[in-house]
This record gives sequence, structure tokens and C-alpha cells, in this order.
Amino acid sequence: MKIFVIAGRLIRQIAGDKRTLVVMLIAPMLIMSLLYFLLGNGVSIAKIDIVSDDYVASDAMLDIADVTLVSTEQEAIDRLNDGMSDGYIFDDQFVVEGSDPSLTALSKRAFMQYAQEKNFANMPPQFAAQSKDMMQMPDVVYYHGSADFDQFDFLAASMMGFIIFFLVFLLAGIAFLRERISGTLDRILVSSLRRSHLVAGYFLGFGVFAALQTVVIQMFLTYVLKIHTGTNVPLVMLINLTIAGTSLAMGTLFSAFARNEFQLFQFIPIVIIPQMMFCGLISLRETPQWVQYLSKIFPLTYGADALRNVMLRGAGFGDVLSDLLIMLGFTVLFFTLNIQVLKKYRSL
Amino acid sequence: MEQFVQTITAKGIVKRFGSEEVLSGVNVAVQPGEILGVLGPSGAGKTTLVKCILGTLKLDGGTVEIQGTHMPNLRLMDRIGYMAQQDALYDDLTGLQNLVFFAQLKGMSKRAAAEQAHSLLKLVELDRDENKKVVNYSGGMKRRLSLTAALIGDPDVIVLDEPTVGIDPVLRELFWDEFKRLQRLGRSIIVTTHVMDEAEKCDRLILLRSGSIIEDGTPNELKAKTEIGTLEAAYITSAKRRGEEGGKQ
Ligand SMILES: Nc1ncnc2c1ncn2[C@@H]1O[C@H](COP(=O)(O)OP(=O)(O)O)[C@@H](O)[C@H]1O
Ligand SMILES: [Mg+2]
Repeated sequence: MKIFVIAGRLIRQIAGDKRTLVVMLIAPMLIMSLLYFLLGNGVSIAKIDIVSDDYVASDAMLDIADVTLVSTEQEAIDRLNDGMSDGYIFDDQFVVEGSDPSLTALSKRAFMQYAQEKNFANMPPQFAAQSKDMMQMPDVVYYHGSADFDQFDFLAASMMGFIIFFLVFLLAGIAFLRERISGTLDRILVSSLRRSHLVAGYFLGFGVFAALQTVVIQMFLTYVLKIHTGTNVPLVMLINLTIAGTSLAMGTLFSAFARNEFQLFQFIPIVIIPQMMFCGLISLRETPQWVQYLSKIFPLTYGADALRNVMLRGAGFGDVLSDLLIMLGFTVLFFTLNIQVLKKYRSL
Repeated sequence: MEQFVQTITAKGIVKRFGSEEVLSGVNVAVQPGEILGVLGPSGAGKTTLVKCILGTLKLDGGTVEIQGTHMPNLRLMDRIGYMAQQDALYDDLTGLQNLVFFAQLKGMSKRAAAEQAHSLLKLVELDRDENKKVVNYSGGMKRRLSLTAALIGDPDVIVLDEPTVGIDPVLRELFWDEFKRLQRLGRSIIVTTHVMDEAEKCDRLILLRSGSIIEDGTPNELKAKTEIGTLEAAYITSAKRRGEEGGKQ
């Protein structure tokens, strides 16, 4: 079977090239680790200065703020300017630095806490106790996920899909492009190899590496970063292979419209960056309708959605079937277009 | 078998790139055991012509038949060996891996492919470097490997696009010995070149210029057309004559 001959050659080429192997297998771990430390250990405590000499922070306050007592407002302003605090409290004035929305939100929580405690202090004791009871957080049931999910747990699933998409697009696109510019495409088409078998061979060859990548990333997430990846490993594998297939079909098709590697990279802002934004890294819930429609023309939107549902919400095959079918549709479309484009090289 | 069946018959080949007509009605015929030289300056359309014959470029006019079968035909593709003007090899595979890959695409089993690859590599004195990656080959070594990649699978039709460009005289001698050997085996060979002394070695020559054949004949017939009696002179005078005719129109 000539599909296997093509796939075998690609596997031999990639396996023999240490740089490509490193990019395919080590780079995803680096990216994941970086994201893990950046997002997983995000800022959760505001630095608040209080102009006072007798304030004693409550436990509730210490949970959300790192409180420093200063003696004058000027000192508080200086510290704010030097980036040593995010906000300060001076009598009834609550001042926040204000340039970083997440720090502002954290500071506001601390201000709220401060104001409440001050109110309670002015109330008769039994009123205060009653009010505190009313302020208690009710018990929350986690329908999916758990209390210790942080931003990274949510993003890891999407990122896994994105990394596989991006690397397969680039590597398969470049491999196919080289085939054109080096003249080997002409040479291999002077044989009874069918155009569809050529492209299918690429699917098989890169499919093996996409599978390997999935295993590596999944193991890394589960055992090293110890984050939630769900239990349905075969389904995650299937989704990732589908993502890789779509990406390969796109990469090899787009390589037809590039004369060299640089021109292929020029597709990244058009093809790759929007998919990154639409794959769940940023919530689309409050975006204008047209943005949501736009996201629907990018295959990774469906792939990332399926991955999140399986890894975070325990969805099964039936739940992600429609996502898989849509991606399959994209793949068939790009595959067919590619075989048409190859007619330029041999009409049969 | 009919004795006078042509291996390759191309009639009225027309090829355009955009509005530029690169080939305007070219006829080519090659018999078994014949070496046809396609001579012409750079840009004349030699590469385009061989690609049209191979079927790796779509024709805008004309027909190509190989061994009596209308082209393009998938099955016949396995009977053609092609050495491109570029080396067209996989740099990150070894010489042997390259050959086995191309042979398998032509339908050979891995074992038969490896066996034949060894003997071809020996022929071009690459047998000691067969397990080196091509990226580490010199220019001459790549040309030799590229030639063997065209010969693997024992093709009946061999198309060589400027096979001896950039190689030393000793290697060129080796290549031509090989072409002559294949000729004696009854293979049909098309060689493009712009080197005159190489043209002498062909059985028949066509002179290509701006997409048309300006002369067609044996090297001696072409030489007889000039007083000086060299191919170079024939080439230059016919090119000039055509140029003047073109100017008058
Ligand atoms: N893919 C292509 N697109 C556009 N023009 C081309 C293409 N390939 C060749 N040409 C043009 O066709 C002419 C003949 O080229 P070529 O067949 O490569 O000449 P030769 O091999 O004799 O040097 C040149 O003018 C070249 O620019
Ligand atoms: Mg050429």
C-alpha cells in the first residue's frame, strides 16, 4: 500500500530529526508548564495600606489582603506610586491604584471587608453577630469541576487542542511545501501513486505523531502538573487525532499558496491566531453576535469545545459527536480542495 | 511486436503560463534504444517540455502517447524514470532510504528495491556512502544519487533534465557510459542539455528556442548545415536565422 510507503517515509524523517522531535514533544510540555505557573499561581491577594496605628486585621481580612499599616497619607501615596501597594484606606477614603482590573477587583473585596467590619464594630453586639451570620457563604455544590479548579485547569484542555493544531499545521505544511520546492513532488508523481494516497499518507504519518503528542501532553498534565484531565483517555485521543487531521488538511492545502517557508508563516496571523482566540482562552459570551458567528468557521472552536466537555465535564462520545463530525466535515473539505490543487502537478 | 512502434510520441504540445506561451506546438518522437537530445538556451522551455511529456504539467494543447497509450496514464507512470533539474531528494534520509522510497512508489517490494538500490549505488560509486544522510552529500554525490533514483525500477523511458550540470568531466563520462549502456538495453532516453559536446553523443537532436523546434536531425545532419561543421556553429546560425525571420515578420 503506497499510503504506508509515504507515511513510513515521513515517520522516518521526523524520527531522525531531533529538532522536530523536540518541537513536537518537549515544546508542548514547556508551554503547559509556563501556563501552569502563570495562571495557576495567579494573584489572589491584594496589597492594601491602611493609614492607622491601631488597626488589627481580622482572619477574614488576611485571607484576601496583605495589610500594611502606614502613618501618613503621603506615605501611602508614595508606596502606591512605587508599586508597593495596590490601594490604601485613609479614614473614609478608599483609594485604588486602578490600572490592573484584576488587582482593582481584589482591592475592592478588601475595602468591602474593611467597611463591613467597621459597621459591625459600631453595631450592638447581638446585631453584629446576627449580621455576620447572614453574610455567611452558603454551601455550594459543584455540578462539574471542583472548588480547587483554577484558571489553568479550565484552559489546559483548550491549550492542548491548540498546541496540537498549531504544531501539526506548521510541520505538515512545511513538509508538504518542501516537497513542492525541492522537486520531490514532481518525482513522486512520476509513479502510479494516486494524489489522494499521497495526502492520505501524510495523514497517517503525522497522525502517529499527533497520537504520541496527545499521550505525552496528557501524561504530563495528569502526572506532573496534576491537573484534572478526565478519565476518558481514548476519547481525548480521538478528539486530538481529529484536530490533527483538520490541521494537517489545512496546513498542506495552505502550503500550496506559499512559495517558501516564510510565506507559509504569513498565514499564521490569519489561520492560527483567530483560532487561538476562539478556542476558549477568552470567553465569547458577551461578545457581539458577529464575533460568535465568526468563531464558528474555525475548526478548533469545535475541537476545543469537545476537549473541555470531556476533560472538565465528563462528557461521553455521544456528547461530542457533533463537534467531531463538524471537524470531519472541515477535514474532508480541505482534503478535497488539496487533491484538486494537486491537479496542477498531475491531472490524474 | 511491430518494429517501428515509437516509445514516445508527442504531437503539437502547447503550454502557457498565464498569457506567456512557453511551448507552441512541439512534436517529439523517440524510438526504443534511442537517445534524444533536447538542446536549447536557458529559458527555451526544455524543462517545461519534459514535464509536459511526463504529465506532471497540464497541457494546453496536443497529445502525448507512451508505448502506444494515451497519457496521462497511472500504470505507465511506473515505467518512466525521471531525473529532475533540481536534485529532488530528501535531505534527511540516507541515500539508500531515498532510493528504496522511490522504488516502492513504483510498486517494487522493499526487498527487491533494496537489492536493486545496492547495485545502482555501486554503479555510481556511492555504495560506501549509502547510509549517510543526503544532507551530508557533496553536489556531485547528490547528482549521482538523483540519477540512480531515476533508474530504479528499470524504467523503459528515461527522462533526464540537464543531468550533467555542475558535475566534473570524470563524472560526466561515467554518466554517459551509463546512458549508452541503457540505450543498448533498448531504453528510450530524453536528455536535455545546453552543453554542445554532450549533444554530439545523442542519436538525434532537437533544437528548442522560445518554445519552438528550430532544427531536428542527427548531430551530423545539423553540422552539415554550416560551413564550420560544428554543432555549436549550427546552433548559433540556426538561432540567428530564426531570429532574423522573426524580426522580418
Ligand atoms: N511554473 C511556471 N510559471 C510561470 N512561468 C514558468 C513556469 N515554469 C517555467 N516558466 C517559464 O517558462 C519558460 C521556460 O522555462 P523552462 O522550461 O524552465 O526553461 P529551460 O528548462 O529551457 O531553462 C521560462 O520563461 C520560464 O520563466
Ligand atoms: Mg530547465
